[in-house]
Amino acid sequence: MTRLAIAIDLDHCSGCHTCANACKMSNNVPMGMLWNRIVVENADGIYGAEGTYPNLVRTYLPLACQHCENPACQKVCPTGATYKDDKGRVEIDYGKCIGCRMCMAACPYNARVFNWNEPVRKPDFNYGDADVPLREKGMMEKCTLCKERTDRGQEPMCVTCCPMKCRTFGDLDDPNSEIARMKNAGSAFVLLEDMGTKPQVFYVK
Amino acid sequence: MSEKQGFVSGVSGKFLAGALVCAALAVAAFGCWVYQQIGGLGITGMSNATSWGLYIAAFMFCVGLSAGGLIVASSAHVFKIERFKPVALPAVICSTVCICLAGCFVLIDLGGISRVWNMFVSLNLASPLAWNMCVIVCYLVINVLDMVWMVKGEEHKVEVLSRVALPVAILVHSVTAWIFGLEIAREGWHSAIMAPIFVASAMDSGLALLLIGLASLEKGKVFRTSPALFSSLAGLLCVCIAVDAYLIGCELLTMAYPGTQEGNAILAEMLTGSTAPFFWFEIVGGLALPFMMLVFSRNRKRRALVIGASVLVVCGVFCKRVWLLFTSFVHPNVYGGNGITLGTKAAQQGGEGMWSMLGSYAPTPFEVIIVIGVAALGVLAFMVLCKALLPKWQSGCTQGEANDVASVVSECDGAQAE
Amino acid sequence: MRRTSKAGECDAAQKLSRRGFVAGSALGAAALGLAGASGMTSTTGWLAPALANEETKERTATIFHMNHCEGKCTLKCTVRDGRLCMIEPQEWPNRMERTICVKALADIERIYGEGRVQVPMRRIGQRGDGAYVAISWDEALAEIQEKLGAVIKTYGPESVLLCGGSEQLTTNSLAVAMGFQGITAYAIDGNYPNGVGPATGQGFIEGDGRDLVNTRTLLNLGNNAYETALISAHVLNDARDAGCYFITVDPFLSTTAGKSDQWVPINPGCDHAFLLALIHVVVENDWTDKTFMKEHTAFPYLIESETKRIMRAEVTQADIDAAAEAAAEVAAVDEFDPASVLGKPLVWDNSLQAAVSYSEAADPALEGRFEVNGAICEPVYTHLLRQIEDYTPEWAADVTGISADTIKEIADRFANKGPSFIQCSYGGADKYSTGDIAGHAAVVLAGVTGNFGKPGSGVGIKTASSVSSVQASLGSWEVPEQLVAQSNLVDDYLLTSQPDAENVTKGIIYFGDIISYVGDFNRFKTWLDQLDFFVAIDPYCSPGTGYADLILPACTRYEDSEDVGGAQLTANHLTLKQKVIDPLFESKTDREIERELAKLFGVEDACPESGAQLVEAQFAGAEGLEGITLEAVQANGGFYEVFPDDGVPLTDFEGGVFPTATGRLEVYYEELIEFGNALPVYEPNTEIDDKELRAKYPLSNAQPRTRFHIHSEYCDAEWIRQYCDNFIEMNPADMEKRGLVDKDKVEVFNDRGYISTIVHANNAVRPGTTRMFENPWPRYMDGTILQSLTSSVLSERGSALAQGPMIPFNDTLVEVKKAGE
Repeated sequence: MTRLAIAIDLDHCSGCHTCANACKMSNNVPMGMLWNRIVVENADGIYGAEGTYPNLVRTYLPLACQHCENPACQKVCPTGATYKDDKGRVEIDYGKCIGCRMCMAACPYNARVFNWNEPVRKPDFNYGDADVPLREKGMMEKCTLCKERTDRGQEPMCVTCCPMKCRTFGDLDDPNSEIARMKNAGSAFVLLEDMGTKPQVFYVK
Repeated sequence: MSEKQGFVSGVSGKFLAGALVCAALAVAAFGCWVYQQIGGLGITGMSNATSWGLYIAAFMFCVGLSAGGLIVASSAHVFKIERFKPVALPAVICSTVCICLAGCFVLIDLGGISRVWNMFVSLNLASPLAWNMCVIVCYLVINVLDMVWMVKGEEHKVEVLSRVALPVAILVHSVTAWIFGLEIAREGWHSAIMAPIFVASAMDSGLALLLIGLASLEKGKVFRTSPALFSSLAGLLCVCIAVDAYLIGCELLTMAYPGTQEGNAILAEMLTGSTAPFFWFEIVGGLALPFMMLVFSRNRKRRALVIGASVLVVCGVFCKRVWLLFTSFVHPNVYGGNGITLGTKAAQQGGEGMWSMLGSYAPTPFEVIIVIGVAALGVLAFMVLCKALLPKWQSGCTQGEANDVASVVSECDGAQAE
Repeated sequence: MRRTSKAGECDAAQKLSRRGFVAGSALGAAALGLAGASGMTSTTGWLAPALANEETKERTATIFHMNHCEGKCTLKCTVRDGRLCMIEPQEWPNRMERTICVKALADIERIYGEGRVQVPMRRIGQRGDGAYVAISWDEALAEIQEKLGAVIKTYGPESVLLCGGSEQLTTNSLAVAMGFQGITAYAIDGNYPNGVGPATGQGFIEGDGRDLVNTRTLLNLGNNAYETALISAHVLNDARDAGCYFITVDPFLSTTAGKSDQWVPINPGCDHAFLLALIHVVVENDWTDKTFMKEHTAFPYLIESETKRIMRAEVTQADIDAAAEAAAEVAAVDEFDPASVLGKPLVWDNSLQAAVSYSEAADPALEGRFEVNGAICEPVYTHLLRQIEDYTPEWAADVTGISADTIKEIADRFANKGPSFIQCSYGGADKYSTGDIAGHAAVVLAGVTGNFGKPGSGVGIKTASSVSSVQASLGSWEVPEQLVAQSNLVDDYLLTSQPDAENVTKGIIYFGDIISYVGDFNRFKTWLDQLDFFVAIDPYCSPGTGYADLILPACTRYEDSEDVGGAQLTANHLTLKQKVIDPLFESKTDREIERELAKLFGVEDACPESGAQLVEAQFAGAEGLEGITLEAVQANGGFYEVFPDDGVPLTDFEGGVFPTATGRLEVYYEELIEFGNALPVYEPNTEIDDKELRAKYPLSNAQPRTRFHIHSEYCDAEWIRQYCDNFIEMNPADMEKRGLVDKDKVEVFNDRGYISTIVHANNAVRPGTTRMFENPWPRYMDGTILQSLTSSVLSERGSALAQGPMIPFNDTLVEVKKAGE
């Protein structure tokens, strides 16, 4: 089996948002939505922090599809548009998406974004990877783990562009991979573990 | 008994006027829907933070409303509650119309209706929405058969069908509940008691709607219901309200008692936050007040009071759909700046307007028109169906007029026996 | 009364020009001719045909990004159907060198955005009104020839200022050939270097970041590398991973403060007080490195008590020869004046019991009082001990808001858990008039504790840029000697803070944005108004373009009319600026524009005639790149490894040898004796420490950099604005006092002016302060300009220092109120 995943080192993350724009560019993500965003935990904005001055803590949490082993979104999708592929990624077959948004309600991470309108692109053409399929209004989309890139043997674009190199991409089922080693290190944790979704994406503190 | 039960003949000008108004509203709604197909769901108030809105609230509400009719009609046959039989057909009509409306709302809510055929070729049987589609279709078929057989006077078939209808009715509400109750991501929905609550609130709102429907049929001189039956149904409504209130109480206690952060956030939102008006209306106006009104048998004989209570119950349950649906969209599980990207028209304009820390929602005029129009279509369908079917049924099962329920029933039975 | 003025809206002018364009009216006819030639119309117009093209043809090209942020990222750009559709980091062998940040990625949108200057435009209203009409390049050039020619004729070439900007790719040949004014020192980011430079011989100490793994204690003063040096801040991660204790001193919980082991919240503008107290604790406890002080610093130098001057030995011929040799290395020999050579400083040798030159002393005294040649004198260190006595941790606690215990702890850690490094510069004290004192105090602290010259120690900045390229260098385009005119240099601070005080400028050719970095904008604007002629050349409608008489559309880095437009050395790689796409709209490259302008005045040969010629010049003057040809680099995709990366970090001032006249750390600043600052002394800031003014304007405003902008660049980029729009931040407590809630529209004002913006509540902002990221564009602030609030009061000491006085951007008091109240 293959379980592709990304590990994110939160101690090294500087919240710079490069991964968010890298993802937007590579996947032709339209205006008004992002597949990948950086949440500053319990703060009111990305420059805020948790607490009261001067007792403050700031944690950056890059957040996108967690590619769960037990994906809540996939179970509830009535047409099977959302599926778990043979490489362990959670993907969307856009042609099957009826826009019911069951998956959106089911995802505990708010990782999915919906084309409520005709997508607006600035610049007004299809940028990014030529192989990325186009999405229309009424279709759900989200991080694909850069399916097209990873199928070609490349890293996801967020991993390539991260200036801090705090993202590690690999196969959790390959015991010799860096990511498998990180997963087994004590500091690895997944987001909202009690939801039982078993995210493949994990964080290291 | 001074009032007479049974069929009243004649078409009034009011009926026509009403039908025309309803039709006009439905046409307006259709126009808005076409606009929505062109522009996308972005014309609604929904966003990536609050991904379901008025349509889904109306869907839940209509599924619930359809309960009363079928349950009353089926009970009449299954449990041999003969006094319910005289209203069986209007009850089923009401039920059929409501379930059709519910179906409409789900379809209206779809972003990709052009790809809906995937529901037939690529159905994922693990999805509660798939279950829902199956059960609703079953339910609709049962309703229609019920209606047809009743009109044709095929009482035996109706009786057999009723034995299936009752569990399917329970299932339809449960499955609707499971669309929400099985979502672990939403604290306010994820509860085992969600299905029983949906059944209970379906019963009370459905019964209340039936009472309102029967009263309006009488007012419209289409169909007359005996006061005894009316107050009897009111009594049943009172019981259903009590059960609903009890289950909601159980749910609230279970949510509040552990004092978890997530539970507290939901409770705070419901008790004092953005959905508080709906919550408190439901508790006070939708449960406490109608219960107090109907718990005294004296009151149940006063038609105006029963109708008042019924209206309160229907509104209360609608409010409940609202707070149940939206409270769980307010607080994302992962909270922090800048929040969630909204994906709305405003968000497409760029700038920081594309973010929201919390979920918020207000229906747009388009949504409101569509919901009102669809509801008007339901009223129209109810009117037309009653007008068309009730005379046949009435003439088929009751000859002339009877002075009390028992005699009507026995005559009816007699006619069937012959 | 406060003055008001609104910035020009050059984008409004765009709409006018675009209409003329699309309609093909008389107004746009000339422009349309050109547009037809280059296949361009408006943004939407030229995009339309290619959209229908189903076929996808892809190719890639290499460029290097902004010089401006010192990242110099090497980028691989993918072009499909003639459009830039993807930007990635170039594939370096070393993963850490594959760099790109959020800003370059935003270029996908920005270069095609509404903010581009598309055609040459002529002003038709008042300066700053933003009313422009589209004209043709020919008309524009003719107008420049006429109007600028008149200025040159009347006032001489020295009345024309030509600024190449810090982001532009000009060669400055035009200024050199015409004898225009050029700018030497900029009035920003130089105050730490002002304070550090005299001691170390190097103002901007941009060290090798890889050395930080050797640092045990990192004292970061107001620098915010995790925010401002996105692609090199990973060295701070490496340091932390290696066990370095990371302390950040900042009034705000900056991104870097949030990543630190310890954040020390401090009152704004008093880093120098904090450092003085650290020195006090260190010397009081004698946590000093006396050997280092005796061997590598000026601390043993004898200071004559009366004159405060360094006592020196007689000048010898050897001194003159050595000085001449040193001068020959850095400048033309004919500028060397033997009379300016000073004798070697004297120290008191304990073994000889006599004053001898520092180089001859076996055991120099650090403390004592001596009589030499009839004069009473004491070593520098004795002076320091006396001066530092008053700067107790308790005193500093009062000034800085940091507890005395914390100060003692940090002093202990810094002195005793070394090697220690002080990260400063590019932020913090740089934007206060007292920044040079902080720089001076920093070198004194590092000097007394011996934190120089060994791995992991020092003062400066380790996150500025890649430094391994010191092994080689590229040449540059040289103006033919016969075309070189007299040089007329001017200091930026004169223009940007006190233009009205003393300068003769009547005409300006400005590549880039002239108004984002000025003090007291309203004062600056009065001066702008009296100019005879002002040409702005910019790819974008940046704030300054709205004041120009003529705006010329420049290409971005992605566009070129030729295959290659420049070369750059980044770390161990040579990178070309290849053509990614054709020039958009009617834009021309900076290189072409410079030559076109030169042609108007008959000096076109001063400028390279093509990109290839420019690159050839860069290769011809290269050092350490023997055998590498342009063809070879081109064949390799415009990206070429010129020498292997040995991975060995460089140590600043290795062995304690400094590029000063004596080779020592010259901690005693004779040039500041007249200001009383030969050794660092505390001084309050001009404005924020003015109690009377504070009663009226109780908030001190800071304008730090954000990761989303490079100074004023990118404020208009849609892919940036989605994360960070333009706003001012306040602590929620301060907002409550003023009845403000989050996202309220507010007016921020003082006696100099006001701005109109949105307020964001942020608990990471120190109460009593406001923060506004530099440098929001007026179009998002109802036409108001942040710098109209900024103080333009310069430190008198500044002119005696290498970088000149800095504009005290953060030494500014304001008050905030709800808009319309």
